[in-house]
Amino acid sequence: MTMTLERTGWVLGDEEEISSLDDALTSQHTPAREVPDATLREVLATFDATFTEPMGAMRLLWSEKFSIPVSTAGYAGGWASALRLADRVPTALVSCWAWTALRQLVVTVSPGDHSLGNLDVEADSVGDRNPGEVIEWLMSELGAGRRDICSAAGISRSASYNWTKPGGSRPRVSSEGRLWALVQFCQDLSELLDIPPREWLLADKRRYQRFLHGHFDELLESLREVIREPEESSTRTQLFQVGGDRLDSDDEPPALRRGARQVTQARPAMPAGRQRG
Amino acid sequence: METRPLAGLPGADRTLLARPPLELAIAEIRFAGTKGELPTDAGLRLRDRLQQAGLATSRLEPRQTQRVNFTMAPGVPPSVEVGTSGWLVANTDASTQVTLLPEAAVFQTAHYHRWSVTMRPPIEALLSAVAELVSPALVIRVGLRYVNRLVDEQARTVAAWVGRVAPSFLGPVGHQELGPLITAAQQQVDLAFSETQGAIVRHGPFRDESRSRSVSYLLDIDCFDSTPSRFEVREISERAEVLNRTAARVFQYVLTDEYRRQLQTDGNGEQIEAVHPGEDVTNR
Repeated sequence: MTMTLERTGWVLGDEEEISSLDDALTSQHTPAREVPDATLREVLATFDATFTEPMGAMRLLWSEKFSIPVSTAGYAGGWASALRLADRVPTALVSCWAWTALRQLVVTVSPGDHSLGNLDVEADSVGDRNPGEVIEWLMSELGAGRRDICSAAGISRSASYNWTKPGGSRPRVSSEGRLWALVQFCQDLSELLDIPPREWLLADKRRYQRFLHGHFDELLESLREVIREPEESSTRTQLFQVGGDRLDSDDEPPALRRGARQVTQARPAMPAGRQRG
Repeated sequence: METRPLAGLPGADRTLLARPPLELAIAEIRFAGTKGELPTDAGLRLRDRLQQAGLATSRLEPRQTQRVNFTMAPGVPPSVEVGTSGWLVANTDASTQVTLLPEAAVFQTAHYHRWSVTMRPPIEALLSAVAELVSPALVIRVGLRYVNRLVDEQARTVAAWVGRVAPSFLGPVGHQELGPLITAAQQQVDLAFSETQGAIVRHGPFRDESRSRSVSYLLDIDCFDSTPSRFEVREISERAEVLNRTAARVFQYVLTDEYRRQLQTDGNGEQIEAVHPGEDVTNR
């Protein structure tokens, strides 16, 4: 299975460079059509699968077009990959060209209306975001109310409201407290956990108390220690358990875990009934 | 026109293989600046052209691209629309196939004998049909791919290919201790002959289910020339022939001289004068 990817002029990251490498390889490949010999067909498909990563361009949605010559089995696999991503990516228009006869699938991806999406697409540097938006994003990401986020970040609630209001004042650096450390903490949790950070955070009352006091480094260190331990560790089981009376339902899809997260586009605020602030 | 391998590689040995391992030969020409859709009788005209070139075909089937749009949001179903339409012309067992679309033309065969007989006439017939039916302004890529399957039904381990495949390509299979433990391997080698010309060589041993589960060796050589140029049938054919000679040279680099001599001799130890996969005795 091979893939080509065309550049769009967006700023590229490492992953995009990898996808572009796929492009360089596959746009130069001469695809076989119907291969009568079943064994040979299978071997060629194996080689294709080894040297390309189908749907790899979906890792970033800054790409517009790629094509995937696929076997029948690979074709189904490609669709499955695409559909599995459907609940994890922002609203985006994806066009697939299926050359059924030629066993070729061409996919066109264009960034959609991110404001409608469920994913925090990292379009901007976190430093460029309004702290008010960042607070709302943290509320959503960590399942915490405004009061708790402000407590953890060491900022006043009144200031946070002021930052959120349209035309509200820009905060002074001295009033931002640990806000950016909290953002970093949230990102680190996303990197380390297989579950949404809020589920892990809300699963243990003592853990949550340490969070409210801004002990981010301690929490991260304890999590890393558990990760280093064997899978069957009871401590690990305990620390990774989820639940608790503040655990949200599955109304919100889990955040997409990716490589280098930069954050953030603000998410819609949590439902009013779940907010504590 | 003198055709020699790209990048100044030396010419290939012109002795035809008595036991050619070639399974598939594929030539693909991609073009741009066409009139758009193919005429409704394009399939028939293409078939006639190919028959005039001595290519017997009985199957004529429409081919269509499909465009599927889907919005990456829960609950939004994909929509399907038709893309471009073309034709497939093939013989009964599909061992020879010609595909024509408004953006590409492909000739593929499982019965390769020599360039001047197997490839050049149908490629030129196909290109002539393309010129007549869609009048492309540009050719944007010429690709020529040879898929070889080296077979030895006595080969029970990958080590059987030591001494047949050049050590520089065989890699870890030749390792004294790890080699016997290897069951399969895949390697891709990218070659750049110029900024727009190159080759992708994929190779490695595999368990061959259709050959008594012996270990066969895949050698897949894909040469390409993506230099944009005006669509001229003769020129494209010559560019394809250069790729052909380049592929022949690469093929010979990958195998050891001893093994090539084995492939060149028939059961009686006789050598056959000709070439593989691309050398043509008529051009000598």
